[in-house]
Amino acid sequence: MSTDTTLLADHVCLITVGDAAALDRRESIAGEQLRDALLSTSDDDDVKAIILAGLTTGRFAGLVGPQDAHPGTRASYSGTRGLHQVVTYCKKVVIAEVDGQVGPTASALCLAADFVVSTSQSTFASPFSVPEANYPLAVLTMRANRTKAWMFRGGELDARSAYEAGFVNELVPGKSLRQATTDLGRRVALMPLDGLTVSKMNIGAAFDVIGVGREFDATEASVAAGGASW
Amino acid sequence: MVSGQGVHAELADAPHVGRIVIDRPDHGNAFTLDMCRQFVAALATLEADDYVKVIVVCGNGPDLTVGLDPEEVGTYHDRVDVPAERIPSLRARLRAAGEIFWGRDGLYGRLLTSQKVTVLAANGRCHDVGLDLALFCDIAVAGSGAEFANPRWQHVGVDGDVSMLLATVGRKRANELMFAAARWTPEQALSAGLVNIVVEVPDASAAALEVARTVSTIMRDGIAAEKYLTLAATEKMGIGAGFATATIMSAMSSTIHFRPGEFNFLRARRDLGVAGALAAAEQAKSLT
Repeated sequence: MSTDTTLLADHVCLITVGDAAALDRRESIAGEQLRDALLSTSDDDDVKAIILAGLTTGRFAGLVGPQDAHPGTRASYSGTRGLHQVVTYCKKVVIAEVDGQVGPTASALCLAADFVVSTSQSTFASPFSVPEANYPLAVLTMRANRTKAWMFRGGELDARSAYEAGFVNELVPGKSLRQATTDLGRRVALMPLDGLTVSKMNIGAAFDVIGVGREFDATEASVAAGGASW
Repeated sequence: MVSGQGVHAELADAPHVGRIVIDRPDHGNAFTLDMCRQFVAALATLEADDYVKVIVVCGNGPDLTVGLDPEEVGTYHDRVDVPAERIPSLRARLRAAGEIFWGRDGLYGRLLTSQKVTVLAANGRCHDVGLDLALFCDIAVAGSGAEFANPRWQHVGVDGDVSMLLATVGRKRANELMFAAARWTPEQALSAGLVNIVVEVPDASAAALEVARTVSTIMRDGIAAEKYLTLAATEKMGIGAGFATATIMSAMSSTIHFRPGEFNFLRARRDLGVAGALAAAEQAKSLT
């Protein structure tokens, strides 16, 4: 798997995931590559918005359980500098761009992202089969009843339902998808860098008040102990 | 107070209903800092009146409010009793943000903890302060031409409280207002949970008064108990802690530096005057 990073417009960066299925297989290298790309991009003062593309996998083949996962999984996916927390607490605005079938790990990354822009034929696998899917964050995004329904019933959410639930911000035709995410990134980039940084800190503080950080800590401990089983 | 120059309290034309009127229509009901304090005073007056059970908040004219007066944006720390310095100290900025907006006796702190039921009539532009009034009043009724936004955020970032916004409309929808300069129609606001009712006419005042009449049939002790229960729930959700964060973030956002190419409203106001700065701000929002 390779992760590409390119500048799409002034202050708008595109990160393309080479093989999203590798994330569902919890391959350490896949998680680390994407995490490192996000970290280095978010540390770049010339970047204000990050578009995350290549999140679709085709039909979901099944998650790898923790007993089969690479020993580096905890660090690359679960920890403070793991992929999911890096997206959730990213210093820059993260826009997930979706066109197709989204597997559970990418779905959890969509949950963590600030925006999701999707084509109307896309589908989202339940993120809750991934240990790092953050329940308080999901409740803050979709409300409690919808979150519980998705969590306990599993299954895919079609794009229209995801939009109505507040999981997706915008539905666009496939041919307009890149333009829509780029325009959204450019609009975000109109905010001064200092203001954007303060805004993201402000939101991160609100997350922690409602327990998003504690949930991540609990997940990390659970993954470390091999507590989650499939 | 001279009518048309501030915020005042009055009794509405319904039993047990008071009204707070934002009354500066020739400026789109833009809030001066004095008006923030007048709002708090008006609220205190009506709260002290045991006859009043419900308070309708409304604007005079087509708009609820266009937000903070652009003449005064960036100057609020000059109004606190902290020794003046060429560059206001952090403690002056913190104290101002707390006293005027986010502290226990600030505009939003007092509205959040009001012991009366508050009903907002959201007409026309409900920008900036208007968006926060929709969040912190108990019930919001929107007219058909209402528009909810905070255009100021695009120039300085999201200052103030975000916890209530996140809790009310959901995280990703909140991001549209915070980062994408969204301007919500009444229907979008209804779908997101920001308002409770949308009426088919531009003026929501009559519908808001009707809601207030219904609420006023509840006995006083019941209203007081329910308000305390909602306050307890709000505290459990961390909104109170959010206000402390809001004070810090408001103060921090008044110290931001602008990089080359970023629009600086305060500099534009100094160079171009208020009207020129507002026009430049509109221009700066264009993606072309």
